[in-house]
Amino acid sequence: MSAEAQAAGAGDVRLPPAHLQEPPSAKYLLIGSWVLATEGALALVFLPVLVFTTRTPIPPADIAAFGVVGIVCLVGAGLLYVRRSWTWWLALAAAIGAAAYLVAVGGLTSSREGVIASVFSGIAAILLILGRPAAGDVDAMSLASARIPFRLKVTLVWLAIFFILGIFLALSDLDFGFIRENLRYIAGGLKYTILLAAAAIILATILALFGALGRLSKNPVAYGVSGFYTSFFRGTPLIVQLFLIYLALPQLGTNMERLSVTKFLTLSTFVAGVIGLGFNYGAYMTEIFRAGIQSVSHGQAEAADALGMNYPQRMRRVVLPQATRVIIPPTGNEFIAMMKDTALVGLLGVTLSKTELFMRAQLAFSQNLTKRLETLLVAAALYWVLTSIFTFFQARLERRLSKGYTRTSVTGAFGGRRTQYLPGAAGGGQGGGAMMVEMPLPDGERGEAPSSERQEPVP
Amino acid sequence: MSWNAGDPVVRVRNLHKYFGPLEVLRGIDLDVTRGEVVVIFGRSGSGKSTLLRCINFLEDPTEGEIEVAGIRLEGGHRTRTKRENIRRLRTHAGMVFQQFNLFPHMTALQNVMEGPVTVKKMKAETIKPMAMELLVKVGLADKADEHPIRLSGGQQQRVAIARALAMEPDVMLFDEPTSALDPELIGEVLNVMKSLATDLHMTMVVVTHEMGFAREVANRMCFFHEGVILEEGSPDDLFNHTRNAETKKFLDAVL
Repeated sequence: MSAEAQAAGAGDVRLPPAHLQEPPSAKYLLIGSWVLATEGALALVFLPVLVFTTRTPIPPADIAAFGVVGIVCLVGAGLLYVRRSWTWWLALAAAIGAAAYLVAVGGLTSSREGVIASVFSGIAAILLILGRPAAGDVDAMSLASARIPFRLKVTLVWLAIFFILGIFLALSDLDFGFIRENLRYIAGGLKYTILLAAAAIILATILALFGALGRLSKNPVAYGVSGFYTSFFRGTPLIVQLFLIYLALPQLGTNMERLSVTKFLTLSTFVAGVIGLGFNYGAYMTEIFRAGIQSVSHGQAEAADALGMNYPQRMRRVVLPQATRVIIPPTGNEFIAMMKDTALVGLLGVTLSKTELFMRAQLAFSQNLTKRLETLLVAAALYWVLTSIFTFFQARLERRLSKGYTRTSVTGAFGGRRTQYLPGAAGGGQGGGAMMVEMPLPDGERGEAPSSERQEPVP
Repeated sequence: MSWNAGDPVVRVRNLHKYFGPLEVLRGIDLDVTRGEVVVIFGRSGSGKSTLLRCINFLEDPTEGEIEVAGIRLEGGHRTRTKRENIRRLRTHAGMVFQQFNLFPHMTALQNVMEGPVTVKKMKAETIKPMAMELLVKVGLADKADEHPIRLSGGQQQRVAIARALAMEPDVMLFDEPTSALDPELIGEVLNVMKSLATDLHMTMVVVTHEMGFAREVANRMCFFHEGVILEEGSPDDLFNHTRNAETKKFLDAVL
């Protein structure tokens, strides 16, 4: 949501009308309550660490007190939404009290807890004091909230999560020096992962296309072969298939030695990995492609037939371009899953252990067993970045393909352009990848309550 | 296979069509000569759409014979040669559907060019002026670069007519072309069809309930009832000198 979208949505019910101008202090109060709530959440997220820590057992009473601090912060944040101005004092007391306690006891694991709590509480207290005139004015706060775009709020939530996780990890004595030393080495495995995934994706897509055409064919050979293919590769575990291809096929090759085809079926780990992943995911994608092709209305095929097209022409020119729209989102999910499953290929053999990302992570911590958290976090983060980049481009591709299905013009701009899917044309929009990359959802239809909901008339 | 311009463009002989045990067409004979406009009407379920779809083999006739522009095919099982001939036959018969069935991923112009480019293997540059001309003819030159979703139903149907015309067919088959349209959009489509008949002298077989259009444009009308042509003749014959009681009942109901 930008100024452009706001201008477009002049009659947007989500935005408060201009004559309802809330006092500016309401905004401070609102943000103050968010900061206080974040502090409470941080404390509660950190609580399990205190409970399960084995280094220095912490007395249960202290742990309980720490939990109370978190709850006090959350309650304090909630009290600001009460329609009485005196609750503001309780919220302020909660903010100050929480930090004061942690500073007084010097933190349960380290004094840094007190410092962090003081920073949070300090900011919250300042915002609360700035927002004092609006205390108890719930309507003003909901108006202030409605003026903050949904997209911005979601971004703030993401930032808060990362921030909480970051502090959480910082407090658990993460060895950043070790991470810095090994990051380059582990990230070097990305090259192999990307190469493996790309090759397997190409193979899987080709197999899925022909598999799907086979499943829809009246030719008994095509139908039977594709049926066998999907049944076997969906019905057995990927790891078993990988071992079969890499470890068991050479045995078959040896058996055929008398036919002098030695080494015929001995594959490199890379080739075995591509074949295993490609065939396995191709089998799943066969069903996706089949469903996509079937989703194209029968009238389209008839129109193509009526023009005199033959089967390949009809598929290539009419059916597949339309099926693609439906196929892309679930296929993206498969690709993401496949990228992550490249880690399994590392199990195939020693030659790989020096190249594959996950194997490199394991090698890194095998030198220093106390650094498992660091290396595995790095590995997870690298996979996550990789799939996020992929999801980003997938979302762009989906937007491009929605051309011809949207009445509004679709631009390449990455802003929150509204996309209207027409009934019947919608193909299950969201990719639902690991990371939420902007999807063109109409803002008004999200769970975010419009301001009108919180605006009960004041008695 | 010699075929003269004077021969009927469409010739249907003893056409039978079963859907399972249900006999939808029970022996149809129909000749359509060049330049003739034949309107087929009747209750829903009487088999009129099925006849139209049998003419270009979107439905396989169970029995009988179809000839379009000199390409004669028997009903029944599709052999390899027959499949080839069906495709040949279809390039001579343009079809307009009730639901338009435009290709949504292409612009109006691309829709019109699709047949000649893909089926007739013509160069896009060669066909483009002709396709534009067709869009002008149906009054949609300004919509050439729009996708179908941004066109009204009436506009979509006119693009669909242009798409069928682009194949330069010998006969146009219209399967209830205005039934899916809002009332105010029907006129623009009927006007285009009228101009096809009067300006281009296009041979047309039209399944429709638009009796005004039939009275004005049709050379011949066929009343379908329970899988047979119960009565046929000029519009004047059918409207003013109805012979069959069923026909009269139907016309009284729709007029």
